[in-house]
Amino acid sequence: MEGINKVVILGGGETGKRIRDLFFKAGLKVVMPDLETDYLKELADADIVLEALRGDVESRKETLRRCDEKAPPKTIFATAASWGITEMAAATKRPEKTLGLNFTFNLVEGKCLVQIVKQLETSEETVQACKSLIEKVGATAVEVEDSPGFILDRVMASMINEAATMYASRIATMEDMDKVAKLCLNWPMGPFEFADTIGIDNVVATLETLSQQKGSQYIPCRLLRQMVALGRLGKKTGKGFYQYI
Amino acid sequence: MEIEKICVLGAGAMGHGIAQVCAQGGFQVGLEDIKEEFVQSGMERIRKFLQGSIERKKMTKEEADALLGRIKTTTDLREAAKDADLVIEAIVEDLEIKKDTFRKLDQICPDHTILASNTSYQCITEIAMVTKRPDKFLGMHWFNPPQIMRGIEVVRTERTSQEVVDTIVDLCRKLGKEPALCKDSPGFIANRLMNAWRNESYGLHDEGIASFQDIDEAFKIAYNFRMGPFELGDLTGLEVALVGPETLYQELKSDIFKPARCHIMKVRAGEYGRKTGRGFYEYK
Repeated sequence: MEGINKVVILGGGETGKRIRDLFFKAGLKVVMPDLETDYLKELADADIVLEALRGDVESRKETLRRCDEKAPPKTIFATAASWGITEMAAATKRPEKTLGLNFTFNLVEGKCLVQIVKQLETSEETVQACKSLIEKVGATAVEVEDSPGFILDRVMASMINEAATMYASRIATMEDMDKVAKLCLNWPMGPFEFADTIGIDNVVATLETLSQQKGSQYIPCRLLRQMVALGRLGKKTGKGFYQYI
Repeated sequence: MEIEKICVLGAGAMGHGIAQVCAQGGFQVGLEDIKEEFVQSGMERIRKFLQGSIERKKMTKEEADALLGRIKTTTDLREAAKDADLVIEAIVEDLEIKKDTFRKLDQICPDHTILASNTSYQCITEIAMVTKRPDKFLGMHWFNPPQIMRGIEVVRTERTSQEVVDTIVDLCRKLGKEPALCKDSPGFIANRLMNAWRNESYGLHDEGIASFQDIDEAFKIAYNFRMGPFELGDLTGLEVALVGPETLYQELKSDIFKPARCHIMKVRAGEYGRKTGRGFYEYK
């Protein structure tokens, strides 16, 4: 497979824009077409389409289906979605060229991690092409099989659930628990600081899926559910475990 | 309650460092271990550390000498504990040996002496109840290396008095440490959080979802963890690390802590990590 030169990013949200900037800086041809107009014509010479749309799996599948008709056979289909990678691949006629590219931007150090999410049909060639692309833009790639929460969200959600359970049972204060994580474990943040950064809604959504698929140990604890019900989702809403102005 | 003399039991990895920090804080320290060679090896480690501090100009030769002058070593438990205001136990992680030691200490020590255990996984309440002073008993959980790590978990039981908790919190601050209060519960704060994180990562690897290298890399790149869960296990020693999930699983009955297959099999295969040259990674 030839290298990737032209990237078409669908979805102009925050994630889409960050990805665009990252690729653009590395000298790639990046197009972020307006979805209201005729974005499909951009696909004619696209090496990769990266879908970073908001919305549910169904609407994303529909978009991919449309792209599938217009894009040449060489085009790789990538999605930045946190779930439904396999379902989306199934909606196309090119599952071997479909995978997930899940970006986590490390805002402290300017680094970027990309979890390359493989489903059963994703070809090694497709994975390698994406790996070179990610290395080219100075990010770090890791590979993961399609499963709830991939690597980071799953482990962090599970840990945060345990922390929230401990706090709710009054084993220690939030502040002391965060302090211990940083001073005794050398973690960059404590569990509640992580929770507020990742978003309580994301944590609970990951736990819900994990508990459905894997068992009761992942059932989100009472405290986390109540926070979601109250809209206390973390930094993005100004209040989570902590208050942000 | 005023603390002047501190007795540290066990001159191993934790004990020697705790003794050093206490002496550095200006306290009189009695350092006890069961064999003279253990005590001497602990003192040797302290001298080495201080030598490094002098070379890095963090301390003068005089300060180091004064610090060493405040530590008295012995292999006699009675000698070490008889006039101590606080005893910090950092001996082998064995419940029965700890209970036995505290039964003796309860006899030896004056009534006002506070007894503290540095255990990581044993139940503080269970140990406290072998003494006649559970109100003066608590956990004081330090982290390795004690000279460097700033956090200390102060673990109170249902029976620990507030005055004793306050005294130890105050002592931690005097020693330049940050105390975190915690109710007696399995793994306290740090080990319960760390094992939730590590065991879930090991489980992910068990399921064939990602390689251990990629899991480590993900945490370091995305979230600035200094070490990934597999590197950490190899560093700690996987056989030592397995005590965490085993104890937590048994006590909390949560599948979150069910020991991961890859972890158990590494231990059975004698691949403990750095110390054996091979764990998840290879070490030359």
